[in-house]
Amino acid sequence: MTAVRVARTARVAARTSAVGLALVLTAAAVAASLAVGTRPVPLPTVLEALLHGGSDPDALVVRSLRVPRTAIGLTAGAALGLSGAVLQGITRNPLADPGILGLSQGAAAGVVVAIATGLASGFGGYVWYAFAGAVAAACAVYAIATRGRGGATPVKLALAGTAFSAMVGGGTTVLLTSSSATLDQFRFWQVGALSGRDADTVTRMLPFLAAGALLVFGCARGLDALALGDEKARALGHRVTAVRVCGALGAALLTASAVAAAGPIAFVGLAVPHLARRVLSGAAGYRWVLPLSALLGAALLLAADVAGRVVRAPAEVPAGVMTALVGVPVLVVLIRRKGASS
Amino acid sequence: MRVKGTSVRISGSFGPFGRRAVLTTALVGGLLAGCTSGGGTGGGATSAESKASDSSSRNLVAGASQGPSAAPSVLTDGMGSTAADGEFPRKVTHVRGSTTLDAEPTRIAVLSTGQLDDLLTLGVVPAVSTRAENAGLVPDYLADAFPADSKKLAAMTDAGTRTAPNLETLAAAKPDLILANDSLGELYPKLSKIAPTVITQGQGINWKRDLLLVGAAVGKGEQAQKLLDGFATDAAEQGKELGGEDVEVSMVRFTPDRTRMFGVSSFTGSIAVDMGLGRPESQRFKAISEDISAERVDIADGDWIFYSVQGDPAKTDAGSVLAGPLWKSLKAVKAKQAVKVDDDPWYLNAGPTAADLVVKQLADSLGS
Repeated sequence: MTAVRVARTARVAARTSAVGLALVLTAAAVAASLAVGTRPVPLPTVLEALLHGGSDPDALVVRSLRVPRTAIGLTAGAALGLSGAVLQGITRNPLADPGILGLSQGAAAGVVVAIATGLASGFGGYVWYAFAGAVAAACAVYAIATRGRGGATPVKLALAGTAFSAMVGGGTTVLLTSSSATLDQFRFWQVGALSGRDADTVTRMLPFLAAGALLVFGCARGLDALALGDEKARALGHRVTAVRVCGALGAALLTASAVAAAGPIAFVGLAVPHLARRVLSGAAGYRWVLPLSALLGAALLLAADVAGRVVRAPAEVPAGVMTALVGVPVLVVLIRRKGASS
Repeated sequence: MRVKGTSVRISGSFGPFGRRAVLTTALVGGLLAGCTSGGGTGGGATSAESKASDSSSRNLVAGASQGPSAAPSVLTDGMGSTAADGEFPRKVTHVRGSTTLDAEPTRIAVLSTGQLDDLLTLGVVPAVSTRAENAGLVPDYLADAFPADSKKLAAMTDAGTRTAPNLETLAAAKPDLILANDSLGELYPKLSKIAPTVITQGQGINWKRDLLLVGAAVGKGEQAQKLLDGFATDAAEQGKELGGEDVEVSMVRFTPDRTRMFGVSSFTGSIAVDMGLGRPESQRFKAISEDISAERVDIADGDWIFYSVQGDPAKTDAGSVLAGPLWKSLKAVKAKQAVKVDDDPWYLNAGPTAADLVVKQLADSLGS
């Protein structure tokens, strides 16, 4: 009995330290994002600019460009990490992420409609269309995947999501090529960049992020139960459909806010939950996986953005292009190490 | 109650492949997505530039690590035609071979940038044209400069974009001469089957050579040479009056997804050379352009900044840069010597009418 308790204490300690490590990583990514770029600014100068302002070019860059983009990276990265984790939970599918399930493409289509019709511009307008698009995509993909024998298996969900993404992507392109003004604006938005966004984007994003996080964390226990299979989850007293709907709504909110703010950014939602599970020892519950995914998502997106600023200086490569290039090697190393030891 | 095994279980549904295979598939997919999503952002018109510069952010003149320090004003040996103006049949030697024209062409198709400008300035209205990515068939500056040709211009056949012209439409329009530049050089065999084709060099720095070759193709080579001589004299005189080397003129272009400053071996850069004007330290490189980020926009400072914005600035990156404190802290901006110019003649189309406009706008601003 005491042996079990000791083991449990050790596990909690290990997981706490994993979260601590992720916090340190995120803090380091924030520091790098403030200091590193096509214009290198030493950390003391960054601090000076943050605390006392100033009007020399370095201080202007830190305050007017680096701070907003770092804040957007933090929030969008956390949103994508959370959204990926919860999607993998509710679909019981390791391949699930906002991109593969069609949510990102749905949100993007929503934004294109907003731009093309001229009904909305900027984050505040885009986000509602993105949300509607993401919810519509989630419903459509789920409806397609549940048809036929065996219900919504992981493979059917991934296939339905990919097919739906391709279809919506085609429609989006048709809409874009018919209007050059829309294309201009879209081209700027769709590269998946953190720079050049309105400074108040983050403050507008926070309510959506908070609502999404609340929904997602609210169904953490339900997600743990879902992992055992629907029947066992029901036997344990969980309302399976309610958990799924709540998780999917949360994921759609989070994806929509990230997509509306930074454009479609792939890979973070897919990779980060896997990273989180690998870092956590044993079979950790979602109350560990979710916060860790949020932290690692933020760290990964910021790291990708920073890398994008140095590879082609004095020009930049958008974060959306860099996420996979930065994230894949880390994930491969982790999988190989764990795979060899287990 | 302790729920165990929350990590996702898929062994049942994936059979012998197991979890690692699935993850690997996902990883490869992710990597591919990362790579391909970058490809679509550059825009077709610039693919040749970006190919040449994958190791740095500088966009080089095709086939040269160093571009010329001025726009070449004579054709390469053997190029063009030896026939006098108006004399047909004539043999025209060009970038991809030589072509014989039996009679003066009356239905000309222009496929590449600058060639519509070349023809209109020489007094010929083509029958077929192409459009730049996201632009109309006739750039506004040309419509304004040639109001008498407006009916004929409106009647031109639209053969798609400059990067991917529609060959079916082109063939159906039955041209008797096709003009294109070397960015479409691969299409030369196909184009030649439709009509006699002359391939010019392309790229803004070669605008004078291209005008001479276009002139040779339509039987107006001597007229083209006279135009250029007049331009050179005019540009040099105006430049001297405006302060010459002592005035540093910066050239910046904002497109929806990138910001560039233009070097010596570009169309507008070569005009500054012809006028003998100075350039900021950061723009004295012999390449077409260099990409810069919003954080570094201050290296583009000068006595004067001539910048253009493609599309609606409020809705792209340009808006946030132009409204940002860094841009507003620039010497030229503070002195109200940052001038927004028309993107078409300055940075998109390279021809004699565009060149005249650039000279005029430089003179009007610097001389005020």
